[in-house]
Amino acid sequence: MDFEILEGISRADIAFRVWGGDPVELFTAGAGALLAIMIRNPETVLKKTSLSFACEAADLEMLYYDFLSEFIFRKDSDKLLLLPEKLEINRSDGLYRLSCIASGEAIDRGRHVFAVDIKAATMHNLSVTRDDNGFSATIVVDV
Amino acid sequence: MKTSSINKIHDYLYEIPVSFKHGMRVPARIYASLQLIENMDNAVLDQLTNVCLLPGILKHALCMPDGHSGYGFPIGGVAAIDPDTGVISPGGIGFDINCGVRLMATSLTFDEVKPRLKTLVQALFNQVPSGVGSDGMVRLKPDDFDEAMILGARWAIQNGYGSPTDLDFIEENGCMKGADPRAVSDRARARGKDQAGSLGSGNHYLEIQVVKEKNIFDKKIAEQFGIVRDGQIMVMIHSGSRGFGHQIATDYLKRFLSVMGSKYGLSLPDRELACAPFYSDDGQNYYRAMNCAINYAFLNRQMMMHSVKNILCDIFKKSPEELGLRLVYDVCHNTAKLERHAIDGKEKEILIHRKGATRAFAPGMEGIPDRYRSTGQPVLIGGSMETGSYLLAGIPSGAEAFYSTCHGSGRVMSRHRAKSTFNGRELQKHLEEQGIIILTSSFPGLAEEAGGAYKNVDEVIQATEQGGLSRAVAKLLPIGNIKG
Repeated sequence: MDFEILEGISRADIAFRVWGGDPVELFTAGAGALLAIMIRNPETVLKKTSLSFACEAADLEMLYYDFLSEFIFRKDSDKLLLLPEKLEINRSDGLYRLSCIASGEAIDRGRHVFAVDIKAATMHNLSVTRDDNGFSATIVVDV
Repeated sequence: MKTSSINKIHDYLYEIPVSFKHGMRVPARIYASLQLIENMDNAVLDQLTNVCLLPGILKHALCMPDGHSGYGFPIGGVAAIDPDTGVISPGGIGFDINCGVRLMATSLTFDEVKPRLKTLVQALFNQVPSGVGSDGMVRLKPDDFDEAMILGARWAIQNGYGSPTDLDFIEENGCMKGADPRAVSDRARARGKDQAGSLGSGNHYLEIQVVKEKNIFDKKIAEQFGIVRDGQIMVMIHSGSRGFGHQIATDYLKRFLSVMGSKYGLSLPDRELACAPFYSDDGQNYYRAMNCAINYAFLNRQMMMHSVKNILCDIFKKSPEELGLRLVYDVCHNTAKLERHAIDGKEKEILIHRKGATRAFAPGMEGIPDRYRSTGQPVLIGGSMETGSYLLAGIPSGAEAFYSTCHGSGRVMSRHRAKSTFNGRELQKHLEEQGIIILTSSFPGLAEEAGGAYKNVDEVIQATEQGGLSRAVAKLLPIGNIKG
């Protein structure tokens, strides 16, 4: 998983940055980083179940925040560790719209080695930016 | 933190004037030594002065000696808001609503516990749910969940977790009025339904502690709090409202962001400071939901303490009475509450946001148990698992800080840096050599919580006392700890 932990933004929690050529790549990298920060062996998460969800927001930053929040929610509500399987992001009527099919499996404490529990996405220093090389996103997660 | 913009009031109190930032309605104050302030991260200054921009803020925005940067408010932040003209802000309470600390006294001594310490810590680790993905002690069905949100620790006691006398020794008697489950989303319910009676992870812990005579600083108050002998064993729990509280904070942060400008004409420089007028529909809905989360955290700690009691009775083959098991107190450190305080000599109801700050009522005040009426409210300060924790008492001079004090030792090192500096397994071994048995479901998580990642708790307590926030009663040293 390609991500960078950012020092100096949060002492009590974790800030990380991901990159992507387009928003789909960027968001997929974000969900991958979320899982890789939580568990030390993300490669052990099997695709045993899948679900779909959608979100919409006025800008890419809030869409990214909502998207990651969904994975955090499912981790507690259904005890599922998930990664995006199919992701679409469009813009229409002034809103960014996202639909995602995510797959994964229930937490297995015997197999999945947790480093930390991520309990919330935050808007602290939240940013999604674009330059000549593509997109990058920074977020702080509460642990 | 750069200190060039800060004016000294005395050695443990510093002020940032309203001229520091455009729009500040009141000055900001930091209770700390200059050295502690220099070790705070720069964002504390920006976040604390942002709090001074909130509509309705009274007197000063405050930062406690253990302060460090958070989201919106700094951790260790206190704001008194006029509820009639001002706002409520989830960022002033924190994601883990009613994260707090509870302390139980025992009549056991270190000599009695030492031979069975490993067995005890192992039993606690096996039987008190902790770590990610663990189920709590009970699965809450929808009707039960509604009742639990309203009743808090009372619900736990009604369902067999503890005795009614425990309620006397919990802040707000373990039950915040004004909790309304109708203000709680289905998503928050979904996250909370399986987590009642579980420790969680991160900096949450259950700790076996010992009091040494040399660490009792006020013998008379300590006796009133239940500390009566050298080597006495105490049990401390640090936990909160789990995913339930986090989801309520997330839900309302988003809601406030969507309406604060369009509906209420409010604008603030940080999205994490999103707020709504306290007496608006949005403000009241958050307040009702937040009170549900406060109650959830009360029942959570109540259930875990009951489990600890059963484990102690089982291991030592004695009754709770024979083991002298008695709840000393249970404090919140992430809340907003309506309290009566004197503002410029006139008593008034105000909304006190305390984020990583503990209420510390002085002797004689309403709202503290009769047993502690002459001593002041017990205040529980959770330190790191290496350095120890403190038991304090509220004092009259705390009025200057709306009877608020510190909550812990405060981080000086990021989690990432701590993980690359310390090794969890080596730390566990090192601490065992010092007589501290630690069990964890996450060794990287253990490394993040190493004593070296935190401020020196003794310095924080010194600043707390010298700043007039509260009085040190005793220091509690860890001998056993379970972490999620």
